[in-house]
Amino acid sequence: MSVSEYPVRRNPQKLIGAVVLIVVIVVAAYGVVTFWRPRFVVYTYSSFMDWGDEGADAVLERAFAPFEEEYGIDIDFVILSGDANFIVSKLNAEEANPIADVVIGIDNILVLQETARNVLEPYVSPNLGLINETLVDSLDPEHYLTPFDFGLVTLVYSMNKINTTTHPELANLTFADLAIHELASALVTEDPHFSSPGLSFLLSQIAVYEKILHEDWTSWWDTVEDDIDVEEGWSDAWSLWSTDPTKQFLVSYGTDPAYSANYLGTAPDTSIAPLFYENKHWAWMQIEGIGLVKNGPNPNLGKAFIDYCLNVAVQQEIALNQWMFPVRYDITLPEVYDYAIHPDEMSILNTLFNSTEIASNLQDWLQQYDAVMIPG
Amino acid sequence: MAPRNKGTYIALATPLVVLTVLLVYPVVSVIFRGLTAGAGMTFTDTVIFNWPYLEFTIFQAILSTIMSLLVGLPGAMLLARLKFKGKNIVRALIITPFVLPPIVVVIGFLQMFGQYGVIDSFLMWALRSGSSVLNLATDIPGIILAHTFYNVPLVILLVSASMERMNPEIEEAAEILGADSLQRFQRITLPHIMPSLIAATILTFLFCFMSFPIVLAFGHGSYRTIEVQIWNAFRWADYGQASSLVLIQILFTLTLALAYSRLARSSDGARGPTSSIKTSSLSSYRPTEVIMIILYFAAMLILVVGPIASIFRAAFFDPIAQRYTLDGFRYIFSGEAGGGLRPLINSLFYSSLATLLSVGLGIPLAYAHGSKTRFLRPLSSIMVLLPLGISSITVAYGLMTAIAVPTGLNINPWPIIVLAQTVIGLPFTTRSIEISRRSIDPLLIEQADALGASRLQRLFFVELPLLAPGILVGAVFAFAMAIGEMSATLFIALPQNFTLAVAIYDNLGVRKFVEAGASALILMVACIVAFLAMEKVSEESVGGILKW
Amino acid sequence: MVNVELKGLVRVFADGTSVGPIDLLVKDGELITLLGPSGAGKTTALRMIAGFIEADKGSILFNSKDVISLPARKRSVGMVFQSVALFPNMSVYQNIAFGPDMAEWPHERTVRRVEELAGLLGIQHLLDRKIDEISGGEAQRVALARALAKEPALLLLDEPLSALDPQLRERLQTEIRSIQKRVGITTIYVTHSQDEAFAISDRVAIIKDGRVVQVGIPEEIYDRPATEFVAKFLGSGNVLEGVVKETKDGKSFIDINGIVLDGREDLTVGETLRLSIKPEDITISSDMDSDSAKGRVISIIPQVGSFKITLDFQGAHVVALSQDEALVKKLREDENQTVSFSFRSEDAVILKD
Repeated sequence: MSVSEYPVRRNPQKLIGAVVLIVVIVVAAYGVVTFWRPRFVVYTYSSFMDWGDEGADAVLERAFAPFEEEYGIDIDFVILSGDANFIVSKLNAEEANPIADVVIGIDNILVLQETARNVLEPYVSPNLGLINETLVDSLDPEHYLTPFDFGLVTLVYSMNKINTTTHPELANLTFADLAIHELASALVTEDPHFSSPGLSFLLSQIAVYEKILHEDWTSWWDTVEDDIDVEEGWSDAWSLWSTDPTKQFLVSYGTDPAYSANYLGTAPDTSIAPLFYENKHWAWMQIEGIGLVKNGPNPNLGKAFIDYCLNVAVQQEIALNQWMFPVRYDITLPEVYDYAIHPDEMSILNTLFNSTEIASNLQDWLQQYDAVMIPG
Repeated sequence: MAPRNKGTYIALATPLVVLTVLLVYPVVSVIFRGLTAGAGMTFTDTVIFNWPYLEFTIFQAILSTIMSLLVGLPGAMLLARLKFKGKNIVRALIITPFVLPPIVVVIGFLQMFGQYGVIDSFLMWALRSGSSVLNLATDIPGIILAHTFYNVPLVILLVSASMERMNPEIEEAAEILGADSLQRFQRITLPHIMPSLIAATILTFLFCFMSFPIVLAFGHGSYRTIEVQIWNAFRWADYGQASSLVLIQILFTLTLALAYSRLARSSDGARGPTSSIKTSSLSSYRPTEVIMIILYFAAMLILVVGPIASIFRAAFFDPIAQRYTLDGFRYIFSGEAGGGLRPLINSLFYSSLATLLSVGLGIPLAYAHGSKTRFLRPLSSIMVLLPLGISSITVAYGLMTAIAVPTGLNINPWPIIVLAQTVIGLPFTTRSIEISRRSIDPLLIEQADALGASRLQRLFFVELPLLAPGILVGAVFAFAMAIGEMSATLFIALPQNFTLAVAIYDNLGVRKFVEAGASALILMVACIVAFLAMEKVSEESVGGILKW
Repeated sequence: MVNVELKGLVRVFADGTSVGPIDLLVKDGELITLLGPSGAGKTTALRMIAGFIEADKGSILFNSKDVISLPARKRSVGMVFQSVALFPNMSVYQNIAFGPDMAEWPHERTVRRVEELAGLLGIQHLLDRKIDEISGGEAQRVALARALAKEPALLLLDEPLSALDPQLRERLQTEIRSIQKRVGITTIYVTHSQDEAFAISDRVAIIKDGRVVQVGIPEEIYDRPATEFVAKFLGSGNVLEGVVKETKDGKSFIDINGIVLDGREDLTVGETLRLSIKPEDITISSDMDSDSAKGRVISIIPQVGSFKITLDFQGAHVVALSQDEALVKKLREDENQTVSFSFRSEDAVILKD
């Protein structure tokens, strides 16, 4: 064999160095690309502005482009999976070093909790004049949150599966009706720990039993626990309700009929079944707000953002993409909203409580709920 | 041993330091902060409130373990004693369930035993029913069955390996002395396989105790284990409760992990030859026994092969629309916002990084574990065992609070995901490399020294090539574990960080079954390919990795 | 090329046993064998010289320079193990070239060196083979080439041929010796085989219980074993006990159970001595005159060129060599025969113990 046919050894240091260098470069590049941007961070929940025809990305782009241009900043909408409760927990976890500037989606119940107020900074927006004062007070008189949208949480049902002819009690539904096995096993609701409509439903039920019926509210849950379906979040619940023929009732929003009409292009096939007590129809009012994150990286920008959210550019997108009512009173609602129920049309269950009552009892109620719902 | 220099000490100590920073410190700080800071439930309240969940955790773990043993023992005996063709294939295939990610198992189970699944559809057709007849993939039956599915292979492999090492002449002597088969089993077989039985029991219990995806999916929020409760408590910002639960869980799991290492080590005695094992063919059994054996095989087929095969169906069959479709795969390769391409890329990227890190940490850790230096060995022993006794959720929780938040990484926590996946897979990688390292002829090392190689040269030219099979197996193991990891990733990830495993869970929640099925199929194929590669490279079965 | 001096080399093990102190001088270019029973400490001593085991006390001098604190890779030592220990992931060429490669020799120089050694050892045709494709004997040659490649100062061989069959072993013995002489490298060889040691060594050092008992050229230690152990180990001597009897003209007589040896000097009367007599120095005859010592035949073992006859002499075993076929035939026919044996006085070596 000639000299050149024999194998030559390479210096290991060169090879190792090369490999390490390549890996470091690749990872650093990825890291730089993902982290190195000046940004303005908005925390919100999944399905925010996502229920229109275009999808959240297009809508947010259109609504907030002027803001981004004016302040020369890129808005990073961090869509957190799950409902608003998770956002509060995440903000608490990041308390020592917040990265979010603003949070959208905390509602009028959540804001009563210490954990929520713990991570928010009160702010009085000059644009508050553009919205109904009662909304501001109903949401948070201390201005930890500024109202963004509102709606009613109530039971909805699909008219394709049941209707007032087959089930006349739907017109005047009570919890006693729902406790019957046939209806209970057709009910889908959400977990009050993780979902605001779920919590609203729980509080609705507690309001009725404590304030109207004066009975132990846990008894109803005890009766239905084996029959009803409790999903973690509203999206999960909605998916189940819409795909499973055995599920008729869903704890959802009063605007669902409007959504249905919009989707079908004709009259809706979803109807609402509000609770009926004392000769009145009741529903729970939910107001969602924007809050300034305490010790956020860009407080002034955050305040400007909150102000901006009350502008027409943003508020006009709410109806068809959030399927909630915009808080600004001069927004024209689309025609299909004729089918939605407005808080003015219902008795509001929230009024049965005073605000301190919820705040002080909520943890206990949740614990009692958990205790009842443990199987067996 | 030749004298060590400082560079070697640094190299060996590095993984220990890294693990301390990435594992010990976050978990300890989480527990400490939770117990003292006062946010949320106190420790005693947590114990009281969670008592039913603790009971359930232990209850389902015990039940699952018993089921696994009951189903697995006959299988072990059959594998050891029955003569049939293709035994090696069966032996290799049997461990398949164990290498599947739990979330993939969930999909398989839903498809096989769940509503409108394979069995349900058959029963609906047979009984001419329009609605679902049998749904086993839910609540307690679902959890227990899925756990059994997972752990029966473990029981079979561990116990049959022990059985095969038994000297058949002992049994023959007993037979000549007049013992019948039950007596022989009681007096001879059982004591011999006892260590492996104990090892299998502890491992199974530990796994079921810390089980997350299976309980999450089948428990529907009503049935919760401690692991699920930690996840819940964190999500509703009750850090006191979360930390207290972490502490409770660690007390249990570390004790078990310790017990396992002690018992498994002591049973790893003489590795006798397996060639002389006495096997008998099917014809040598009585007719009733033959029927039972056939029934057993059929049951195993349904329980084990069924769900795995069902995943193929899950990838194509949409139960809501009741039709076969390619939508699942369209989802996988869709680069849109809700599409599966991003999770797929994330999965590949994070898992590859985690694998690199696992190997990079595993090699020095394996050396430290085999070191003769006084403190290095027990310290690295602890470090390797630790991730086994700490649940994935705890690891994720610790990393998020102790590392992600202060560094601001939580804006896009993909590095944390990679770190969590690394830590979770590290014990197995290290173990594999260590097995390889032990089999290196020490004389080769001495030759390299005598011939003038520096430590680095010796490592690179002599040791690493010989370690290569162990490193490869360890790397593939780490990759399979990382890509299937769901618990920690779910905890940490923002939607843009979703991996395929998390996407499966997410899609399940919104009942996008085909999308979940297709993703599960891809993960399953990846894991099986990885496993086959491992088997090919290492002569010793992957089961060796499980012995400490 | 070095001369090696071991001074007071000691190694204490964890279980309390120890090897040493060892004192030995190895001359430049010589092949010295450490010979002794298993567990005597030969391998330990060798490994201390190589640097694989740390010595607890003493010094190892290479050309008067103490290397005891040098790590193995800096000692310029080539080593061949019994188990060969070739690097399994490399070819024959790469194995031999390992030392030069690690020292980063220029490629041509390495190639030339490898080819030179391969030619020396007759393995040129194996250079591109994998390690698992060569035979045991070929492997040992590769190991030797590998050890010599970097032109070390010292060559150590630890029972390199023990695992090979006897014919191959003999052949390789001579090869190793001739190569060692050709290259002129100082070599320390370890074996428990006396034949091997005597066949190839310039000098032999007998090791017992971790210490050097006797050093010398093969003939010297065979003829004049220093202690009973050496005599018995080499099979070079029957060890008999005798008492010193009266002195006459300055010379004493030694009485071995009736056998009287001629006068020796410098002995104390009444002293008990042990003496060694080589089997080949003992003559056996069936002539039963009363003068010679008598012994009862226990066994007769034929071997190359002679018969080994073991006698019982008043309780002690005496081994003698005889070439008398007729005598042996006669002895075989009659069981339990008694024969007479004798030897010259000067053939009895007094053992110091």
